[in-house]
Parts: sequence; C-alpha cells; structure tokens
Amino acid sequence: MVIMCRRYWISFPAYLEDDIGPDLSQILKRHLAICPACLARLETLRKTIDLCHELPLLPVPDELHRKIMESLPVSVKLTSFTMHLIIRKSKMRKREKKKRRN
Amino acid sequence: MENIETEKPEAELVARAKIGDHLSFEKLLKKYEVQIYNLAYRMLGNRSDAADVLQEAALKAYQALPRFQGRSSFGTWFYRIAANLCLVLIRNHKHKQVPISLDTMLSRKGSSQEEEKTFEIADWSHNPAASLANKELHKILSDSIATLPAIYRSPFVLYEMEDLPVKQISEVLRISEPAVKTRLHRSRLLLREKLSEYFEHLKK
Repeated sequence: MVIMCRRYWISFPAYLEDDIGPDLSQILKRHLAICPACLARLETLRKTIDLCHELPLLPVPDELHRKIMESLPVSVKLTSFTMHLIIRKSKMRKREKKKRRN
Repeated sequence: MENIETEKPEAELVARAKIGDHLSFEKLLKKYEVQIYNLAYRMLGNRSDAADVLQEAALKAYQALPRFQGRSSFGTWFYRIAANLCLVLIRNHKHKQVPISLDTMLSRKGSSQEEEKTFEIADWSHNPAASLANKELHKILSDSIATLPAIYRSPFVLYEMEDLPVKQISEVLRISEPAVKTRLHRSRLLLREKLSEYFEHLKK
C-alpha cells in the first residue's frame, strides 16, 4: 500500500493549494477517502504549513542596533533649528517648482 | 519631545535622514529592522549572517538615501536592498546547495514497509503538542527551516513567509516558475518529515 501511495505524496502540496488539474484532484480525493495513512500525511502537511505561518519574528538584538548606528558615516551634526531651516527651504523649493509648472 | 519626534511622517524622516540626520535614520531603521533581520535569518539560516545583512543593508541604504527618489516606499526600497544582499550570499554559496531527491526525502523512516506504514498512519495534526506554545516543537520547526537546503529555503521563505507571488520569486531567484513550485513543494514535504520525526519520537 505504501509503495502505491508514494506516487500521490508529491502532489499533496499542490493539492492543498488547489493547484492541480481536476482529474488528478479527483483521483486524490478518491484515494484519500479510502486511505487513512495518506489522509494523515495530508493533514500533517497542512498543519506543518500552518505552523510555519504562525512562527513569530525574532527581535533584533539591542547590541546589533547600536552597532549599526555607530557604524554609519559621521555626518555634520545638525541642530534641530538648522534642520528645521533646511526642511523649510526644501519645501519652499518644491512649492516654487509646482507654481512654475502651473 | 520623543513622542512628537515619533509621530513625524515617514517622508519627513526620509528627508531629514537624506541630509545626514542620524536620529531620523534611526527611527526608520527601528521601523523596518525586525522585518529585514527576519527575512535575512530565514533566507540564510543563521543569526550571524542575518546580522551582517541587516548591518550592510542599513549602511547601503544610508549611503544611497540621497539618491532615493521615493518611487517606492522607503520600506520597500530598504527591503529590496536586503533581499538582494541575501541573494548574493546564497548565489555565492551555490556549490553547497545539493538538491535532495524525492526518494531520499520520503524513504528515511526505516527500511521495512511495515515500519513506514505504521509511521504514516500517525496523524499528529490534532495533537495538543502540535502548537508553537510547545517550545520544543517551535525550536524544531525554526531549526528545520533554517537547515533546509538553500535551494529550497529561499523559495519557501519568500512564498510562505514573505508572501511573494511565484512569478516574482522566479524573477528574484532566476529560476522558472515550475522550478519555484517544485522547490516549494519539496520544502514543505521536508518540513513535514522533520515534524513527524519529532512526534514519532514523542510516542516512544
């Protein structure tokens, strides 16, 4: 039975995604109805994929974050006031450009 | 003050970071670093390479920011830089990527048919231990993904975890769409085998 079943196993991932032709789908459905071993294999495959989707994200170690920030090229230290002026100037330039276009 | 800074829209943070404001760049980094670190960890299979990729991607993004034109969002752009770095690393290690034949994959459990049959009947999908709350299973699954052969891991991560469509994965990995699907299917079968081994071991 197992040897017979083997040829179906490779189609299980596509079957779960509904990505196989209707003929093969029918064959698999008929087989799954009479083969508890294959049904178990299919259900555990489905469960495996679900578990993968549930995996949480790893946090970024604080030390790594610090290391990255320290490795950035040193730029001119800008005070928030200078920064404010630069941003305002850039916005004004954009506005003028828009006006000219209109 | 901190709260006011946090609420700044992304475009303004990008504009400030472009002219060298580390604080604004740090806020952008904070926003995307977890996603990028996890992409790299899953693509490359270990934390050390993932850390290198995040650091390299951040540096590249910072240096290229003045040329960033905002045609895509900053997050997408940053993500793409990191994904490309992962792919370069994967391609450089191509010689280590050995595909596993389906037969090898499916015939690991004992040699007798009877042993296989008994094993296959075990349906652990409803077992209460089949949950990520089970720390042991959680670790086994994470390790199994991390140790998938790279040719299977990349399409698997991009499809299952990063939600990229098959067409895009085939472009990114420079392989055909059917090849992407085959590798995806095999990676799922391999992971199922790994988890089944664990549940089989639990029964003993």
